[in-house]
Amino acid sequence: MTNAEQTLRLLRELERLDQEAEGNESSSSVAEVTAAALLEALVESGFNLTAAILGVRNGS
Amino acid sequence: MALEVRVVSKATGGLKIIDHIPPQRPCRLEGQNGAGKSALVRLLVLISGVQPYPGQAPPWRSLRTLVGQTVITINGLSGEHSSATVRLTPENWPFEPSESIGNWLGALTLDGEEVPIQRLFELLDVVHLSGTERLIDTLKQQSGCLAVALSDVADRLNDLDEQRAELGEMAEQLHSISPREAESERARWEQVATERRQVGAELQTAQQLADDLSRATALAALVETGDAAEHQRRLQVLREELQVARHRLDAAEANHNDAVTALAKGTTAQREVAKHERRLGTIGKMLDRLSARQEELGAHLESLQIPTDADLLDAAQQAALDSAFESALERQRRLQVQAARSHRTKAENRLLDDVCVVLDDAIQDGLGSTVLAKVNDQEITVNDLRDGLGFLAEVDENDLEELAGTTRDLAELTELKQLFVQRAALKEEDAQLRLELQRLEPKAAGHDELRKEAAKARAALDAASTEVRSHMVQIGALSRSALGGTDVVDVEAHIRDLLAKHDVQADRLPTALLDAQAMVQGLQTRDESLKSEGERLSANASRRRVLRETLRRHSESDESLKWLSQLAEVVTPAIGTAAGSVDWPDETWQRLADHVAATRNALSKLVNDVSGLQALAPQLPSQTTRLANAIKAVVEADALTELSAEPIADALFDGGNVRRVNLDEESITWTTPSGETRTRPLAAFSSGQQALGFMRARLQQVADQPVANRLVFLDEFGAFISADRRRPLADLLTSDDLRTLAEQVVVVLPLQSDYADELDQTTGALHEVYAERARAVAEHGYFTETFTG
Repeated sequence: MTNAEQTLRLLRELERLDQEAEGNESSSSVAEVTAAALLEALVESGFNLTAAILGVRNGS
Repeated sequence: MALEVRVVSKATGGLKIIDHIPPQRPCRLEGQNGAGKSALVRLLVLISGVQPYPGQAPPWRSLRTLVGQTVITINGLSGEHSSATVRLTPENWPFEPSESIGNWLGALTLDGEEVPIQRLFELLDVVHLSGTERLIDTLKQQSGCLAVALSDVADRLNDLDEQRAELGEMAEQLHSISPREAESERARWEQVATERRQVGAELQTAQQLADDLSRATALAALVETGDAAEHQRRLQVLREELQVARHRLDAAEANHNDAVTALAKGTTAQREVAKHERRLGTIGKMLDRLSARQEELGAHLESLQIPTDADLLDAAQQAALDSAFESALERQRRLQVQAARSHRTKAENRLLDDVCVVLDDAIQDGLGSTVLAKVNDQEITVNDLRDGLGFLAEVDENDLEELAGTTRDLAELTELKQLFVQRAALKEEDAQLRLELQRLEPKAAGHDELRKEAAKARAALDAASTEVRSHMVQIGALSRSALGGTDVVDVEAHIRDLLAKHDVQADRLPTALLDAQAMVQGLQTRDESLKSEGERLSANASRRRVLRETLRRHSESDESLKWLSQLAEVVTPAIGTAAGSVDWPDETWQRLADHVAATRNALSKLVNDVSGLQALAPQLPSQTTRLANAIKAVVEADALTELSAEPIADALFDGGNVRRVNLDEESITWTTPSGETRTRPLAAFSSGQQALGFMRARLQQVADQPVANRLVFLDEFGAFISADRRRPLADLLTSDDLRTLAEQVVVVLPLQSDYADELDQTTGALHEVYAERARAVAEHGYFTETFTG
């Protein structure tokens, strides 16, 4: 498992814990980009930030 | 075929490295402390592409410094190549224990052919199992691995710091120009405008109240101290004295005229004297007119702390007058620009606002003196254009009451400035004429009585003029004071009216005045604040249009911003790819702003989370924060997977199902095949038969994932495997069960006995074995042989 994959597991666990804490309610009207989704996009783009911005998935 | 390892090293600083692992499987490697067993294992792990000291900088740096010129050869490889030789290049190794092993490690040859070092990482697998490893150590090690992974990702994210800052700025810009923000600011602008109207009305009322109460207070003070009556009497006396003085002045003028007329009929010199006398009389009248006008404009001078009867201005007074003039000029300019707005179309105003924003931003960036254009040989700078922007010559100054008032103020201040200049010139001419008269007097002798009469008449005229001027100044000053010329009884009635108008009791007048003045001040401050906010919001509306256009154009022409136009298409595919002069629709701008802001927020969160996790992970955290819980959850999940592997489940849990590893409680819960749920502390798996079972299970796990050219080291096993259990271990290592474990298995043991000492007590084959071991230990500090238990 690569370093990025290990980190992604931790971030997804954090997201799960955060969602549990928030009761699965989104506090924002704007679709969010999660830290894990952004890291995935960064890894896919070779840590090219602008490419990651274009490729990242958001909650919309 | 078993793997053989040979090492030729010029390590320094006392570092020793075992120089040979023979191709005997399983192999027993037994030696003194410091013989280089651990160093060999670490180096072999390293050349297999794995950092042997993850997160442990001191031992890594020590190895890097001491290993020196070292060549490691591995023979008996299976597959395409049979021999690999690595010449280490520690001079290129990084200072920190990098997880990612690169070309810096050394030079590799496979069967004599030089190839990139990474090829060996694919060929060779080195597994180091420590006999001292316990379940809890395994979990901590896993947490340490997470720390290394996080450190690597944190480094990659740190490299993005500059881009992250730029993304933050872009997010702010897009937010500021987004339709949602525009709507929010428009609503706020309306709110501000409404509030300002209310404040304006309140201010008018409060100002009236404060003025009335202030006047009532001043009048009451005069009445109470008796000054009012004295004031009124003094004014009356001054008026009567002025009448008398004016009569005297008229008479003095008539006398002077007569004297000058008589002189004008005399000799040439006398005619010259008459001419001078006439001019002096004219100057006197002009100075009187100037004084009368100065008196009328006295309020301006008083407000500038300049005496109303000032003859000439000193430097400080002149500066105060100039400053007031400049201030009035600026105020008039601003009001003119404001008035001009109502004369223009919406489009014209929009154009001016946009240009205004661009120019203001340029001035703020220090580009005020940049020449923008040349018109009729005149260079127009940014400052020039900004100063003149928005003027409309034909605006009627009476359009606005305030503008009319300011224009009047400006005209009066202009007049005052000119008045002092004119007086100075007249005074100078007057002095010059008097000097010339002194020079002419001897020549005009002959009709001395005429000349003397003229001089006498002029002196009387000067005295009368001075007297009239003095009375006028005094009357003016008294008239501008609180009481004016009103009767005391009328004043008292006026005070009562003022108090009744605002429903203020006489005894509360001082408090009410203070309250009213405080209210005026508060409202003025609020009005200023609202005015600034309104202006800022108005400017933002223009700035938004300019910024949108600038960003859109740059996103098409500037390579570093092309991603923005690409993103515009991603978020609103309908806008198409056709670049043109058309602005993107509001929907696109809003989505751009939302997406970039969301990404910026995610990046901040990512950086913060990775940093926080990185700080906690090196030590398996015991806290219950969200970050600590995430680390524990991942480690627990890994442990659950590992312990659920069949060999381990069989060895430690009687073939049951592992349900939960709980790091907080340091326990494991499983269900037995019969369905019974059991929970046991992790510590219970740390010694004796359980530990051996665990290690056997780990070996089985390794064996279950067969790879070519694997080298397994079983280290520190002697600590808990007694001599009588080594035979079963040897049997296990050679058994069919672990047939796929590795090409070479090396059991690393500390020196078990002083073989030289024991030679005398042994005979036969054992003696031969001990003799060989003693010789090898004496020569190298270690010996190797086939492991048989």
